Amino acid sequence: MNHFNICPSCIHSNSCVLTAQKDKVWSCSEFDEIKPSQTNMNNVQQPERVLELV
Amino acid sequence: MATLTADLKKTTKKVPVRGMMDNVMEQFNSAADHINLHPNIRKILSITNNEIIVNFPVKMDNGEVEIFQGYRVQHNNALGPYKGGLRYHPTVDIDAARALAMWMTWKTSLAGLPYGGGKGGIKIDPSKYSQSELERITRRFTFALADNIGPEHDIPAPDVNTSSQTMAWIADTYMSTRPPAERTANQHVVTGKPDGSGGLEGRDRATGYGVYLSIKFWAEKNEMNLKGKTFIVQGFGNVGYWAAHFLEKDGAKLVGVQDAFGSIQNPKGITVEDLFNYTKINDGSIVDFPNAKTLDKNKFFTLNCDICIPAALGNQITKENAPKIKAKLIAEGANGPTNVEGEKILLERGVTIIPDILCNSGGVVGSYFEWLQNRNGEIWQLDEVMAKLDKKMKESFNKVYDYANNEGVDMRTAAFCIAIQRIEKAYIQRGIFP
Repeated sequence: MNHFNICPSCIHSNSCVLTAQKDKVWSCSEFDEIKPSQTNMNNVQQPERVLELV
Repeated sequence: MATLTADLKKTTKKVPVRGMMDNVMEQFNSAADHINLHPNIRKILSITNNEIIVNFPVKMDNGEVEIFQGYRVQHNNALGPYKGGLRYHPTVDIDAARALAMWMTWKTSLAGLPYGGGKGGIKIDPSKYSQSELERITRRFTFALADNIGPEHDIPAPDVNTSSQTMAWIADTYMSTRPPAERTANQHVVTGKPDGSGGLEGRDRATGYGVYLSIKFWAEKNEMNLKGKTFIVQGFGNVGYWAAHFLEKDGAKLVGVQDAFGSIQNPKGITVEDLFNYTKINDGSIVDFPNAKTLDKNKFFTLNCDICIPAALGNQITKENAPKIKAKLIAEGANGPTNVEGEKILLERGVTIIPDILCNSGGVVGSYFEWLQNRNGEIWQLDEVMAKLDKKMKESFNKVYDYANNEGVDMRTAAFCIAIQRIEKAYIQRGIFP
């Protein structure tokens, strides 16, 4: 609870000039979530699908 | 005689850090004392009605199964169904959800809506999952919550890391669990849905428009013309941009902006639409906007202006910068931008603060309109939405303004008193079962 903050998962976390208290932010209009990395996306394996008319 | 010796353990007593729940409870207790709230009702409102924790399995893209933990805290429903966001974040826990749910109870009550307060989410880092995994996680969470949510019982909305897409998945999953003839009558189980799936036109600008309206109503009460008045905005996201957009339309002049990337100023004025278009081609950043100068981040709140709109995050106006603030009016677009020490200094200096619980309530009012629209099987036009928002915000603003003047208190204290009194009245009229 006392560690509740959204900064660590924001893409601006390292460069953000809005606050130095990056351990206390629970709401922010500038928050942008870190997008899934390419590595993770590569893990997505969709089964090959073949459509057949029968 | 043997001598027993022992090393003293070098333990230090942990000083508990003030948490979010402490702050919310302090605000509640202060207002409760002011209105002399009935002790029984104080007991009821000091605790949440229901706290639901669900652990649910989801199949991942690689075929493995992962277990997730989700929460929904329902604080109070004396005025109507629980209402509040769902956030997906690694630091979500029941304690945080509790504080935010209580905060929602006051917010919906003050806005005069037929809602109570709730909050919830999943303890998850969404960046680690694919879109299709997030869809399955959302759908399985909805299924796990089952009848603990519902269009007339508990209505979630988007929050941190959840979007209109998340709400569309929840609505679809929930509706799929209903009997066929009832499915379409359950679309309002969530708000914040996409335009084409029951969403409200104008929902994007509702919070910012509400901030602008609060400033306009205050100006009218104080016989001040907004034309030519200068303002600064912290945060150029949905709230900051739309508030600036509507203020500029009324003749006010934007002279300073700060976002996550930096700060800019121009005493002659910054054209809101030009800046907005610039951010679109500059990775969302206001930095190096051609018609403005770069400003030291620590000097932002001390800029010469009539109105200051902190619309980004909490704890921005503190005892350090409050004595140097030039604005006569602070309109809190963000949640909790002014801390206790900062507020005390500003009030002593005669600066008015339109509190967050009132100033940024346009968003939840917009959610209420979406819910009503779905419930009544209607589709509202943009001008209709804005007109209704205007009316609703004016009612709340006038109540707070008049209460503050009549009781000789600041607008934040007035807002909390009104919110709690409305719930108290409902309990007094209904009594306690059995």
